[in-house]
Amino acid sequence: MISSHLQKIRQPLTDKQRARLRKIMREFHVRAFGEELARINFLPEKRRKQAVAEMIDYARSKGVDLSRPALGVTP
Amino acid sequence: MRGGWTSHFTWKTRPEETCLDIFGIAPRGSSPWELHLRGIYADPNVVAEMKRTNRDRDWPFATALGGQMLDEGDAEGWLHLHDPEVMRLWVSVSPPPESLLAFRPLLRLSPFKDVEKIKRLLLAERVFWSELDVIRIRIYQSHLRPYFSALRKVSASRRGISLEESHHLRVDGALQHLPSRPLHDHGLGKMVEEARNNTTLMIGSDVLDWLPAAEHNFTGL
Repeated sequence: MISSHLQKIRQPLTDKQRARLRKIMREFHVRAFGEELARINFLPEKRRKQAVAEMIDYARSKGVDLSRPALGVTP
Repeated sequence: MRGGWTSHFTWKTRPEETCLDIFGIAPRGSSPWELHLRGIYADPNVVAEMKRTNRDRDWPFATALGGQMLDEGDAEGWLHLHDPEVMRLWVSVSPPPESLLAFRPLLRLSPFKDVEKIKRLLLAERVFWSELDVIRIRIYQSHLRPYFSALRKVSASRRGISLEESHHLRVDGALQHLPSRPLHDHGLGKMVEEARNNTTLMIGSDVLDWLPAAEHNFTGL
């Protein structure tokens, strides 16, 4: 972390600030990833993993080829 | 894995191939990832630093991780916000701390009212990290030819060898033909300088002072 080069900077949020941040980030997720993924991204971890697994199963059932070549380099 | 080398495996499984990427040092990591684990996962800061690549699709993930860090009260999340709208909206609630300005000069423009300027400097930052990534990959790839050539020679007569045998051949070849610290040998400062020069050529020389510090992003190399 950059903070290992300086003192750790904590800015604990109030409930009101956290609600505001989540609204801002939710709108960003919709812009960046689309409504469906944005909805999934904000689910609790267990439900999020389940939703992703269901999405993959659905894609497979529709014949989507999910394979991709190894690039040989970590991007 | 020393020096930032990576290893990539592919199994021809069905219905899809199974791929596994292994690395020991996180690209652009500012500290060892193993010191900041979240259970079995890497810390959001480590992943956000890794997402500063030359691929467009990676950047929204960095911003998302920056937001997650801010949500957890970690002000360093400001280093990972690359969306002008998120920055403009969030600054009115909780501005970036002064101690981060040296690492990311763009934060000096808080509260980010000049949207066009912010967008241009965000683009410059992205070009800078992207160029740094291109240079990084180019350095690693420049050493691969003698390694692959030697590997082909020794494995040509050994069809169907086990994973363990293949592993030993590759490790022997790597020890013989690959430098253990290619980025360090090339010069980390030289890499940064080249990326900065390329950025000013593409965006303009006026952005030079606004480019982020990158000298902390070579931990372990």
